[in-house]
Amino acid sequence: MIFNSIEFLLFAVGFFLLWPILGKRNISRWTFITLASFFFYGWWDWRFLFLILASGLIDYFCALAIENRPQNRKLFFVLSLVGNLGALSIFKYSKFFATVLEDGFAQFNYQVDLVEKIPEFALILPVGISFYTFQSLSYTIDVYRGRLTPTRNILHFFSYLSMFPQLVAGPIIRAKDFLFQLNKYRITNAIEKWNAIKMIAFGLFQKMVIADNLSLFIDSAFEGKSGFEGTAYWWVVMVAFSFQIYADFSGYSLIARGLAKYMGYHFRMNFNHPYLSKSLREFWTRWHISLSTWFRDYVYIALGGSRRGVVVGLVALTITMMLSGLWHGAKYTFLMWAGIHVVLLIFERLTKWTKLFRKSPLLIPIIFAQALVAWVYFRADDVTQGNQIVSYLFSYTSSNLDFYHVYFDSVFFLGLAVVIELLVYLRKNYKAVKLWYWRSNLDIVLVSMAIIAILFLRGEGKQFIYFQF
Amino acid sequence: MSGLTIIMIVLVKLLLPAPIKNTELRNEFWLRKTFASNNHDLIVGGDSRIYRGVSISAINESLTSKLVGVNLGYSSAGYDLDYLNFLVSKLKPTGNRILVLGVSPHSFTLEGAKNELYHEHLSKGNFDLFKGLYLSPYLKHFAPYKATELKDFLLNGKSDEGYFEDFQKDGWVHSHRLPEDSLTAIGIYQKLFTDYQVSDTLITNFLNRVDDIEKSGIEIVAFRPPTFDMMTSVEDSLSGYSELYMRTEMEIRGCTWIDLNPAEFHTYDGSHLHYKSAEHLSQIIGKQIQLLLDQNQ
Repeated sequence: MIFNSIEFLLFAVGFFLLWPILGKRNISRWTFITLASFFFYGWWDWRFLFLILASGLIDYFCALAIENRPQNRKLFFVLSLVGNLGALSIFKYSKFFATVLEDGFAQFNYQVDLVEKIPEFALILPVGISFYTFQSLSYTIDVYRGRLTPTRNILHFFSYLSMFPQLVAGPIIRAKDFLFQLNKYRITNAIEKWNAIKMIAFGLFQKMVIADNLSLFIDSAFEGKSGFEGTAYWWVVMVAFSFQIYADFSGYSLIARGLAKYMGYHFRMNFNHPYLSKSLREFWTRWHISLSTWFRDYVYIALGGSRRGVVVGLVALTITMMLSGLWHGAKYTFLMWAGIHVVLLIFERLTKWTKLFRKSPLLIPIIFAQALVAWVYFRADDVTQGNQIVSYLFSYTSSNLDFYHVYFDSVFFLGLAVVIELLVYLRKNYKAVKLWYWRSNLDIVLVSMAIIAILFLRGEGKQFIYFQF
Repeated sequence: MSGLTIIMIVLVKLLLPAPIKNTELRNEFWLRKTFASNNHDLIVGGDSRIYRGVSISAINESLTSKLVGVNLGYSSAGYDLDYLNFLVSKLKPTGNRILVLGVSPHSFTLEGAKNELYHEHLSKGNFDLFKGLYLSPYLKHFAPYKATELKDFLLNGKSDEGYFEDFQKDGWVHSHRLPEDSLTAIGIYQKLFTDYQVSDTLITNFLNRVDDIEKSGIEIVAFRPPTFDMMTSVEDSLSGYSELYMRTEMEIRGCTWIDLNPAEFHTYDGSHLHYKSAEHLSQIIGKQIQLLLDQNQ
């Protein structure tokens, strides 16, 4: 069940009608959230529920064991890690690792067929497995580190783990931020409800109007069906993809936050206009914030972070970014994407070049272009296609813009997305614009316009891109 | 906020013409066909040339008393036994029972016999059915516009390009396309018939089933859907289909074959009939059915 579907609309109406009745008492609230979330998740394929149940049960019991049996805490912690990462490896990485091993053996003239021997069930990727696995992992890690007391109520735990707004595509919520919120039933006031509606409307606008309308243009380019080539064409395609993936994922996160807010809960911001960043480091504090901070807290800092010298810092950065690439998928293209970020981040950290031009707005398009080049590999089917597109971008062949007429239906929405980001930039950086926006109560008009656009300008409904991760 | 939104919705509905493409209408249209009741006097079967080319309302204009009918044509439909049985199952058990079959070469290729669209709709889950049959009538009012449509509307007052389709309750799609291009479909069919020729097995099975259907008291009226001259030549030269053989074999089994003059019909893409030609074809079919009904009385 996806947020931009009639199924979800009916589900949400039913849920929020029952919420004031069933949400008041702890047990009924946790039961209701858990059952509704399982229904939401099982709508894709009820068999996926076994995996989330298994993953959740392992972490629930391991966390209790870590607390109750301090002498064996390491054992239970390792058990949790093996359980979660094992499931992730089987369902997400088995084919990739088998291919890598096959290639490795082939180097020594040994032919082995490992991919064919993988059981069929392991080739199915359960929706959102990386999101809930990381969420579940953070729970046991925090308990192990003594930063969180585990909950004794299994429904309390599962209502945290499976809560439907963030279950399949984040934001990745930490137990220490959310378990205590679930202990209360909050009656949301009018302002909170308005903010929730605003988030949901803007999120749906980003997904259904911007991202979905861009997809035809981008898909036809990457599938080689458009018949267009040339430098200008590929720059526009890649700008379009940069905005598509941003609108798609940021849209999902906004809807998730809005739904949680309507229930009286708070999810932290997951995107903060990353394309307005003035350094790549800043970009990573604005893009998929819940994942970036997860990797920062549980991997980067654990590896030594930046406090143990330059070399250790750079190694930690490299490992963290490469793991982040692998988190997105078991493909060399994601490693390339992460690798480009590593190189650029290391260059930025060592030279501090962005600090020299800190006040110049020109840094924004430069940083955007860096992210854009990395996105090439994120979207490409394989590294060869990625290399080909990068060569189109940087070796001038043509500035033919004829595609504009054929793909006007997409290019129009690309223009709209760029204009919106530009207006956000002006609002953030010019006091007069900010004051005018604040005084004119423009939000009401903007939400109405977003709803009208969702109704009458939406593209063809597509699954959210980040569901595959 | 809600007041402002409602005003905006009303303005959109009042000021803008209906969008050219309406997915909800299309969805409802296919599901209503696929899950049509089994109390019809008249069923029309065939591929896209049929569901765009035969209107039950226009057939009824040629009849002295109206028949309850539905056009059950599907894109790229092929005459395998499953599809034929589906058509027959939608006829009522007694009384006037007429089956109109559009017999195009493509309907006897293995590609056609896949009946992908028909099976896709037949296998819809319960929620999709509920959505298509009960929610689509409301959702169709919120069909989205393309940016090009809005641009054309703002610049010219109307959209003058596109594939215009009006989905009718009787299973017919009232269609035309601007600008017209009679060569659009030729290349596609050339490639198709290079890959797939008509299958002798399918034709034999079809004729055997036609025999059984006629014996069960159902009247079959058949014809080759008229199309663009060049398309007919492509089909005759590449598909391996013989109209004369098909006609003779069907007539031997008691079917009524309608002879059509292609010059009377006009296609907008080289394959499908313009809605005016579709109405004309339907009236001709109606006259033939009237003759049959008169003979049977």
